Amino acid sequence: MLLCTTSSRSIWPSASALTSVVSLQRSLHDRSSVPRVVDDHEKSRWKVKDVGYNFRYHQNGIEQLPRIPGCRVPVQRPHYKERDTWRESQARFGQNDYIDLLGDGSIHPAQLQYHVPVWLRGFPGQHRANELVKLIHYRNLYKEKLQNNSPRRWHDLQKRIKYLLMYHNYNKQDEIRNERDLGLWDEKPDYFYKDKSRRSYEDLVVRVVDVGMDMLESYVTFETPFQELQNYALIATEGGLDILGKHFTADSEIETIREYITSRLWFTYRRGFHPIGGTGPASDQGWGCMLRCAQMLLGEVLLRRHIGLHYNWKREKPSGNYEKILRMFLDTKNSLYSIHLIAQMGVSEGKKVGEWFGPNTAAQVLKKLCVFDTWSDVAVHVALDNIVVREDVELMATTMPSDDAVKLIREDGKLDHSLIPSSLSSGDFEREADNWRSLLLIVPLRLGLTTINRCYLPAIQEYFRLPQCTGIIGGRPNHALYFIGITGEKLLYLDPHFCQQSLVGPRYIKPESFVDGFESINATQEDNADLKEIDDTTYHCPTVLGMAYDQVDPSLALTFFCRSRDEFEDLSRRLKETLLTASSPPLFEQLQHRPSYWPKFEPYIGVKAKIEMKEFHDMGDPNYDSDDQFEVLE
Amino acid sequence: MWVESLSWEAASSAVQNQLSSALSAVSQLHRPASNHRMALNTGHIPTFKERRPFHAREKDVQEIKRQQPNKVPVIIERFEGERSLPLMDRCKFLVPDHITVAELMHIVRRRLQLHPEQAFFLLVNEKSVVSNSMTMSELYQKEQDSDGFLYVVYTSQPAFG
Repeated sequence: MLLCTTSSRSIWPSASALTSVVSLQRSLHDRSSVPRVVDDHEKSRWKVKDVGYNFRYHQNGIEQLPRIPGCRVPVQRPHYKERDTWRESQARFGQNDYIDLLGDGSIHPAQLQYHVPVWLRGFPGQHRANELVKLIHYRNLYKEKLQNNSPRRWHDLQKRIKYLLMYHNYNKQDEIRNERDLGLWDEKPDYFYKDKSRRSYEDLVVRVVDVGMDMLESYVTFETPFQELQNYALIATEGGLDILGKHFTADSEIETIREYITSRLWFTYRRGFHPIGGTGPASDQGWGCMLRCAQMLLGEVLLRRHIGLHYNWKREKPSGNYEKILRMFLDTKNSLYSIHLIAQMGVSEGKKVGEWFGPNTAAQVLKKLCVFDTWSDVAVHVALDNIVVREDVELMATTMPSDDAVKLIREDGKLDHSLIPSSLSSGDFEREADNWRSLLLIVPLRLGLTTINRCYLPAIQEYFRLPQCTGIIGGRPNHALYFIGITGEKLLYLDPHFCQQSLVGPRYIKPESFVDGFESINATQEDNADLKEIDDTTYHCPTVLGMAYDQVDPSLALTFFCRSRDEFEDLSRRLKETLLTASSPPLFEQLQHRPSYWPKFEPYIGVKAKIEMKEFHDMGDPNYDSDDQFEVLE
Repeated sequence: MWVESLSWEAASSAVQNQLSSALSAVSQLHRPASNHRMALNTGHIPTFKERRPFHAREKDVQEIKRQQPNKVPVIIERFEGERSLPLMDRCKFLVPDHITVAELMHIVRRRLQLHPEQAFFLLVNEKSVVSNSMTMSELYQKEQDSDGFLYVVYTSQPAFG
């Protein structure tokens, strides 16, 4: 047969040769030529799938080890390991999962990482903290111990740190030289550009200096070291200076101006507070700046509300109303205006925790939070659509928040009881006869598309002269700032982009007591949530910062604060006379009555159904064929 | 045993290759026809000015002014950098000249089904225009484009980080 096929291949073309092979095979195995019998026993018994397989049911001896054919050495197999299911790590496996959810918040999950050396628990990984950062951390923790107990290791550690510093600086020099050769450097430093790694010829060669964790971290995350900026705030003193309604003449001393700015409350990024919502972020670096700006605004408002205009910081132990205000902003869920509550209140505005806020969102969140503050009793009105309706403002300022709102947040246990006076009615001040609450008026605006329009500059200058002015929340693109004053064309601001250690939050302490080889978990915890004394130096900005008007982002929100009806009347008179006539078109418009076609105004007084910001759906792709027709609006 | 497993892996990878090639063949079959007037897949939506040449726009305005003398031809478009507001299905509008700008804003707000607390701004020539005192005809006199349309852009506020 084989002969036959080969010979046939040589004679016939290949296609027919193939068919001949097939026909040969068919003659062997295929029985389709046999008349079909329905009940074919033989066929059902003979299974094609078993062909060629050698069943190894019965073999003498034990099964051989697997071998590669032709190779005498058996294939490597894993070594036999005896399992000890009662090992300590096995026994503890999973026992503390969800401790962050189910526990009382006293233990941080990172404290339970038993496979990690004690001093490294909760320390960021390679992407955030390289060996240098890690060693400096170790040195800061165990300095005395090392010096006393093992001077040799201390010496080695210092050597290594020194070496690594030199290494990084050396690499940095190369990097800088290469960039310079490539022409990547700018002529002048652009401190307002988001990418902080861009350099200019005017920069000094930046050295990694060993100043401990803070500076190094800012080096690692490429945030500009804060000190670098402070000399760039120059004050043009030709026309004097207006900060939050206070005028400084051109010849006033820089120190008095600095003193005034330093007295403002300054809220920055913080790290190391209790995670938001139990498992959320423990630091707001990179996302919380608009929230911090909202805090700064509110801080200024509360200072005015409880202490008075132009608060002057005394640099002593905080006490009285000042301390009370400061405690409302601590980074813990028990404080009413903490980053925790602001971020979580943003959820009702459709912003997830960690998402960026716009000025309007921040304003709406403040409106909702202030309802719960019966001590301050501030009404917040957000005037949208560039129109301030006096009628609405008055309604808002004379409507009390519902008692249910306060009760709700109390039963939740979210609010520190000390923040609320025992009686729900306002505490230690007498309300005016016509029930006028103090009022924070926020006007979100958009003064241009991509850049701010210059035609509004005179109005902004006028704005900072108003005694009721409490600053602008806005920023430069992607970078929120709290503007507090203006000099010439330069706006002065407080910048939240500076990460500091949170005053409250879990602290990791070196465990000292080892009992029977087990670490005592609770003993390592020091939580200063009920902090006795507040160190408020980190809540005041030591530097004066300024930026040009043209670099301001067009999206911002003007804010005004009126403590009484008289002040509001004064404000609306001033608006009419100075602010709204200063620019053309005006910044916004003031009306006595609500336009008839607007829906009825409902003052926000507390708990309402959760507002659904529904995902919008486009009304379909724009239909370009419809360019031919107009739509007639009535 | 060893060899068998190797060959099985090879076989499975071969099958996967076949599958992926088959899939790519299918996707080639369903490639969208590129004879559409606009290139939609870039994500950029051309503005009205980009879609229609100047002389055609000018003619449109003359025509519509002849037919409806007391209406204002307005183009309302979304700002190109806007991310949180929906698109409108059309952009050409004829607005009665006696309504105020604030009223127009309210109409657009209702049309986009916005929440009353959502930030929303109308801008003409990079300036924010909402005014309860200015009527559309006044705005049109002041801010109309050289082709005779009034170009209005709507946008909200971006977020800061």
